[in-house]
Amino acid sequence: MASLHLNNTLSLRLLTIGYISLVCLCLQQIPSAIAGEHPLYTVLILNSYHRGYKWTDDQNAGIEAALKGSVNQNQIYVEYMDADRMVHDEDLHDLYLAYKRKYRGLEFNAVCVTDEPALRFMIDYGPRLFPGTPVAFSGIIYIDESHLKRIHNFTGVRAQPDVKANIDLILRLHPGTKNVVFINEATNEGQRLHEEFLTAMLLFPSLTVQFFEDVDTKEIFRSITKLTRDSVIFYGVFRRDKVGRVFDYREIVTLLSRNTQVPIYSPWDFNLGYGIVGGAMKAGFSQGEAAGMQVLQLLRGAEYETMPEIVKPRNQYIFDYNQLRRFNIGQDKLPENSLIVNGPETLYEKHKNLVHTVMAIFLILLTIISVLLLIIRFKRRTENQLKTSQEKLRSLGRRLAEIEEKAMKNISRELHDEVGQNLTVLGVNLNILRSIIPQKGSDLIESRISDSLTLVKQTTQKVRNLMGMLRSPVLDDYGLVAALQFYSEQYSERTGIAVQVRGPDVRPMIRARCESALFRIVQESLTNVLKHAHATEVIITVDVNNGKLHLSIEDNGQGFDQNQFRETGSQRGWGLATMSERALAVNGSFRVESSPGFGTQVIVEVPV
Amino acid sequence: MTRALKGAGSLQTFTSFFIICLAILASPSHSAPADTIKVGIVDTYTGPASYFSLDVLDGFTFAVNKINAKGGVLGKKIEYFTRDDEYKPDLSLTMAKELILKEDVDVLMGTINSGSALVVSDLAKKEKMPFFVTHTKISKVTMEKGHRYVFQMTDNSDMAGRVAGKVLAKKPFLKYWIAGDDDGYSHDIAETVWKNLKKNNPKVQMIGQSWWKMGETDFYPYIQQIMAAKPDFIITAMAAVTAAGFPRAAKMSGLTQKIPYYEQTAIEHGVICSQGNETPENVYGGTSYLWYYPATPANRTFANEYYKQYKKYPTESSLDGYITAMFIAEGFKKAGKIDKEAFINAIEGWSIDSPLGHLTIRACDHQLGRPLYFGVTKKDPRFDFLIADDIEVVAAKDAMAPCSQILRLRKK
Repeated sequence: MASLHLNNTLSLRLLTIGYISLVCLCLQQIPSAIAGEHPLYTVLILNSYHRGYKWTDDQNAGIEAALKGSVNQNQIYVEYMDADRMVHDEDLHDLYLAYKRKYRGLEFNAVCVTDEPALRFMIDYGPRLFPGTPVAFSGIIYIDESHLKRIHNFTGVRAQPDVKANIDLILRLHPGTKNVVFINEATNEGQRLHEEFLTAMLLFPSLTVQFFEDVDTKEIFRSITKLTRDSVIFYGVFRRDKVGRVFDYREIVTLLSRNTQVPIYSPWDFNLGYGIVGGAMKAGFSQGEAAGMQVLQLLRGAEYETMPEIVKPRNQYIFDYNQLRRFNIGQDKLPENSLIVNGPETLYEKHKNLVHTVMAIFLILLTIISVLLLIIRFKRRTENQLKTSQEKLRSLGRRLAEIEEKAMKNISRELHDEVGQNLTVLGVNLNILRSIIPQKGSDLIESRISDSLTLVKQTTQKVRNLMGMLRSPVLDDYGLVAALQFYSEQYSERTGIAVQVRGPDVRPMIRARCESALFRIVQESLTNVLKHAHATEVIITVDVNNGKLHLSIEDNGQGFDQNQFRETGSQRGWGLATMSERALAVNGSFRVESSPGFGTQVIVEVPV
Repeated sequence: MTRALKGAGSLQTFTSFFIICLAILASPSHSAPADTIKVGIVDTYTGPASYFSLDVLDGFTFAVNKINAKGGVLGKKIEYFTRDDEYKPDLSLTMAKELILKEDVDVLMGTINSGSALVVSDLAKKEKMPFFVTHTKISKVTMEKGHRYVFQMTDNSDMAGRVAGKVLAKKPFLKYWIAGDDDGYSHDIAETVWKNLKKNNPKVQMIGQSWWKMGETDFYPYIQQIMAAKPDFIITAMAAVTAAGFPRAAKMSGLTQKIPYYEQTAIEHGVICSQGNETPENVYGGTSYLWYYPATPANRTFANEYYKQYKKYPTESSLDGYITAMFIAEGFKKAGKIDKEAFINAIEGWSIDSPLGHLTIRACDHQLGRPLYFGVTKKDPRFDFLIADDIEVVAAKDAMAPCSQILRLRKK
């Protein structure tokens, strides 16, 4: 019953957990369902450079992060102009024609452009390509806002580097700086940075400046390998040198860093991780994110046609942990809210996915263990209850056996003292009567007296047998072995089954209660032999060994299959159960060994 | 161009600018002729591939020491700079640029990675810098992608394929299976061998192919598949650095006892040594150098001297390095000056003496002509490593693609 109750409780709990999970799952689906209700916006992201260029990739990631939830991912079109690898001006026109063909019939709600070539392309070709479509730009170092205002529907985010902030930072972290080496490329964007740099350096008249722009890279290497400790490199972008060598942005920074003993600073975050110490930076992701937010404003404000202001994001102080260590720069010297990248990964960071997986497995296992512990706890409680019940039952059994034994003893005594005595007197009286009746008396009287004497004798015998069954007087007077011998003789006479009793000559020193229990077990066994065994011989063995009395009742009958017997739960089990209980009541053990065709042996052991 | 500025528009600006310009112009490395001939080596010095790259370096150093001991070339010692590319082509390119930009090398050489060889070759072309390809056998570098500034100093996969196809065609095998790394290089090798085999013996049949991902470690499923198909012979094609696992699996599974197979570099001493005791017997393969064959006085002397210095026998990679150094020295000597263009003109079609006799760099494609040896691995009680048996020698001229074919490929 307890088990059934437990199963019901568990099932209910599992159902509740399942229901909660289902509800959570449904709730998770709600935002996407709501998102699906937004108008179907279509946005084009036009990148100046190629996929894999970190600055471009970061801006894209920022834009997509801002648009997420408002514009479906599959409605965002992404193009890479790869302007760095365009050689001829007519390439742009070809690109315009290609886009025109590709996007004919498709109307964008907004166009997001990253970096200057794409912006210039949109200024030149946008009105013909996507007439009336608002444009948001990012990554633009310099833009003539008054010029933009003349062009309809353009806004965006400026990535104008803060040179002054960087020089301030350099002087803060390297107070002994006397010389700033400026490495920059001779492109339009490079020229903007050059101008910004010149303007800013007017504020630092005590610093010497070396320019490396539009030079053979060999010149740079010759110089930077010899720079003294009072120099710092301020690196813009250097993708192509004077003699036409082209460098990947990672490659050139790596080479510069490997070949100089002085720190390198840069205003662009994509240079980080290859040897740049850090700087007051413009981050690609932030640029893209801000432009994406403007696109959202454009989409939502399209009705009232108000263009958002051009955004000038704040500097982010970002540093490379490895370079900070290389130049022995303490983190306490860094500006507030500085971000440090490439720091030593904690074990958690290094194996984040593995840790999450292990934690999930651990939680699942913990839940399973908790449930199992709960089940074990219930089971133990039930087992204890069962044990208590069994103890009570056994106690009651013992008490019942005692009462039964006492009652049998009383009845036996009564039969002996009253009925037995009376029958003896009756017999004596009948003999007296026979002696006083004249010899030549009535034959009829003689016959009746003889019948009565026979009857008295038979009744006396039956009473004795009954007394023996109820309580063997021999047991009390001579002990177990003698009682068993006496009982066996009677049993053999009555049943014709030969019973042999083997036991010690000396009466074993065991308690009377124990003797009674063993005697009753033998009685029950012999009854079973008679009823079920079809045996011709029984051997009862009593033996005391190692502080224990061993009792064995072994017959040569048909035996039985114990497994089958247990499975069928036969009524015959009551006799065995009673015997077992009797043995347990005197702290003994009880077992039956039997198999079909090989007789049955009942074995009892009790401490003496 | 270098400019200097101190403040803006101040006199000091110009003074600083002048001083810096002077300093740069006075820099000894700027325009003064170097006292040494500088060789930049980009190769893999970390990881399993370094086993072969270090042999190249040993062979190169062995030769350079000899050359420098004799006074160098044109009165200049040969100086070399190494850079580890960690078996990464992008790093090879960066390191090659560093050697050019910082060390101002006169010649580049390397590398074991075929991808690296191609990107560095491209850089060499742009920089007009002679580049000697050592160890990697990619044929593209001097065939389709060849140019004036690149030289292949070892045999290439096209040559090895031609030789294998020619020799295998004479064997009694008819049913073939092809297996290898699923990359372009291995496909190229297998295709070349098969094409030449089929050309030399039209009766051969390909009954199946297995291609595993690069770096595969569990070869048993493939071996089971091959054994079930019961081919007469297997042609395998693997990169040297990943080829260690297959012989081990082939040996353990009993494949080599049942079906003989070909592996391009199976009899190469360096490859056998790199695989420890795992190399099975009865594997067919080729090499362009065996220290014990031919037992000519020149080869014996080289192997003996090399052994005395390094306590190991020279490998094909050692000879690659050695020959490269000898060609660099002889090239500049012939050119009479340290000039890259004159150097290239000098070594095009030029021959030098080597442990293998006269070796010539063919003018049309800059491929070094080396004889190729084909054989089968076999135990020898004298050594604790396998050696090649049943060796067949194919002369360089018979192994190399004709110039007309190379030129056709380059035009495509």
